[in-house]
Amino acid sequence: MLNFWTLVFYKATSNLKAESKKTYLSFMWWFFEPMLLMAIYYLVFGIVLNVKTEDFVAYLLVGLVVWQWFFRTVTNSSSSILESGAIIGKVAISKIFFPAVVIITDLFKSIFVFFVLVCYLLISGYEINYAYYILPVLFVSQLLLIISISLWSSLIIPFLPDMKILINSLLMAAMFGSGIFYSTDLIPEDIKAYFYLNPMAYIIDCFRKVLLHGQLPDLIYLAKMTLVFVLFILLALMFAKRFNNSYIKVVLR
Amino acid sequence: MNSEIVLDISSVGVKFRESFSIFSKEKTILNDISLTLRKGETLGVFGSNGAGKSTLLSLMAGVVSPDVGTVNHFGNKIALLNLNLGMDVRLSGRRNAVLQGLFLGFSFDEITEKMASIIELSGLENVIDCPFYTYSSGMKARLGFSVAYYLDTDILLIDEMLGVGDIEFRKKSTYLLKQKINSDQTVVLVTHNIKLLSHLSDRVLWLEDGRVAKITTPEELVSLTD
Repeated sequence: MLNFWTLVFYKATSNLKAESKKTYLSFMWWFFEPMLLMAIYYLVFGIVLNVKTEDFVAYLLVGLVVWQWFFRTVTNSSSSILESGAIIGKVAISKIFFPAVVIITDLFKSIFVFFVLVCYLLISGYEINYAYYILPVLFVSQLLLIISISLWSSLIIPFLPDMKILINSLLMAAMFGSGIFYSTDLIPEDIKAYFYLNPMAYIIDCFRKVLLHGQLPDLIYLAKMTLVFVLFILLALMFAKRFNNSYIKVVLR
Repeated sequence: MNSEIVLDISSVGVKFRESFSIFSKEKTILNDISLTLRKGETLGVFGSNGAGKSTLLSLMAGVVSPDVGTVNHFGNKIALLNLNLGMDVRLSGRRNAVLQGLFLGFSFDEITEKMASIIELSGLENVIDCPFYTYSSGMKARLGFSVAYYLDTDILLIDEMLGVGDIEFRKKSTYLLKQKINSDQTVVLVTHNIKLLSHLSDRVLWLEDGRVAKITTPEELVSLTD
């Protein structure tokens, strides 16, 4: 068990290392890439379109950063077992290994992106407020959401490859349903309860409350949702354990 | 032979589905296989293509689960001898060696401890920290072999692989592997080379269409196939 996690972390750091070696600026890109993205959004929405909603750029960036972390990890891990190749025919390893490596790799990169985001907010006039102390809780809650969705998609896709196409469409729908590009004030009150059933929509909202308005989110709702994520993860782990050696039969054909 | 039993397979069957459709036929790869492996012995596995030899090794390695019957490995560490386990060409030779060791189930400390000997055997001292894509396929195989050689598992499964690399290293690795097989290492060896099989095995398992046709002595195998 200990060796399993050593392997996961060793593989994840190896991936990060290998990736950084592919470019001249290497790991500096973990800062530059999100900076560039934020600069583009600032240019388009803040200067060219001059959107007047109270600081739309910051609003947009918080949503995007939180969404991108989720989106990137789920996309990368969903085919991780399917594309693991010959290795699953050679070593008896828990198939959780493959999505776990992706989750850790992307977690590490996302920490940099969040760092850049907070820098942007501080530079553009926001201040560190007392609600910041809840950020680690939000972070963990989102991580658990990402783990649950990543595990399930990676575990299901080898058996039902058609799901890969479906998951891409679902992610697209989720992106539009998470209130990234529009103000959530535009949503009619009677639909709002349903809107926040989408966990990404709710977590993005929480991050915005804390980072932009210095307000604490509804922690009870957050706790309930996180409990559901944990339950999903446990079910995924049980599924993985039960069908661990069935993957070789579907992946290698 | 009264030494301790290290692996027990009893009336095992393995089936694979032929396609994604749930209505597709199930193909039986292994059928009613029973065998026990004792500590220190070398079991040769012989059979024509598609007889289920590789699946039998996968079953022993714990990669495939039996659909019927049981496999008990009594907590022994079993691994397929593998030369490029999860190798990543973007990483250094050293990192790849560690990764291979971790995949084989060894701890980071065990691997670090053996690292010097591994590098020495591979003869890659000068390039061990260079990226793996700069290695020739022979060099990769040499490193892979050295890791597999020094990181001992309780039961070693060998599928058609003896000797790798250039002529000199091939000689060296074949010699080392034969030595290992003849020591009290427990080995399951799959090969089409009857001479080698009869030379190295204590017993030979003859597979035919996923069933055990017979378990013979190496001498009998030679006389039967002549």
